[in-house]
Amino acid sequence: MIKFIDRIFPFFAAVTALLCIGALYAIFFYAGVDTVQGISQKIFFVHVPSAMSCYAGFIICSVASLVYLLKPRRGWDVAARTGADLGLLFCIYVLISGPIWGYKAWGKPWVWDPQLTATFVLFLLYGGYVALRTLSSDTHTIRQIGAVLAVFACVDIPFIHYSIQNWGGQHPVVEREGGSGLSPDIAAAFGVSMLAFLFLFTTLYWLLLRTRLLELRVEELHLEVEDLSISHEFS
Amino acid sequence: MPRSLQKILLITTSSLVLLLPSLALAQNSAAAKETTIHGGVLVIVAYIVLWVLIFGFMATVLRKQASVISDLAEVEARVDKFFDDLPEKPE
Repeated sequence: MIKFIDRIFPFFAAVTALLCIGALYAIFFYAGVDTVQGISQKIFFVHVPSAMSCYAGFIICSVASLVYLLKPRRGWDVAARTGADLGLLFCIYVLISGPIWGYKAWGKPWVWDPQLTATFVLFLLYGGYVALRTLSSDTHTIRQIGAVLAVFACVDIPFIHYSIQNWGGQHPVVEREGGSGLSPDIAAAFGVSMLAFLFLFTTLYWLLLRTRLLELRVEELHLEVEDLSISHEFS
Repeated sequence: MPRSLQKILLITTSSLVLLLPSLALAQNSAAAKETTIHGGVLVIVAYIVLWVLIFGFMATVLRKQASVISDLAEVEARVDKFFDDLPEKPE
């Protein structure tokens, strides 16, 4: 399976690059300029898909952590760490692009809106996980502590998603949940952008996961060679 | 990562980053709020930050990959040395 993915990966990455170009074309040439918000509404096309990618990374991290707690194999831990790193990258971008957009849309970059606050809490939770895993030694206990933290942190994601419906705030309501909806050209460009981000997320995830798995294998090889040398010295 | 793919990614992403500002400023702006910064400038900043983050992430992964490859070469050298040092069995 891994070999097959490795084989198709260059094509997948090329498709990702093409989709990114297509998304930029759709955003800037196909979708019209919003009459209310103006050009700054274009941030929406990268802000929302980034938030979805951030959720995806953190959900992967939490699910893989849960599996690691039940079946402690290093591969699951590597999958969890990779998901958290990538999720955090997109979360940071959401917290940068949101205030940039908000500055124009609301007149101020930051408001203590429930969704914004919950996203900031999510950043702190998974930021804590990444800091723990980066700064601590890679022992089984640390991996377990990290996994428990990741499983609990995941609870914040539904809070973010349903915060507008339950507690209101400045964020617009999504169309499927009773919002005003998008014009067809904006909806189409948004769809292409979402697809591009899905591919981008998958490409980056695989790139980092493969590197980490290779790193793990090299570490094991080092130990095996060490054992071999020691056993030979005593024989 | 194959070198050809690295080249494709580098060319694509550099073009995206360099061409984007002109695309954003080419469109008319009707700002929702009267702010001191033009909406187009904010869009440029938002998109550039995105590409900088993605490129930064990729650069970090590629650097990590290079370090793993050098580690692998080190293990290979140790294995070779181990087998070279083994006394030959008399036939």
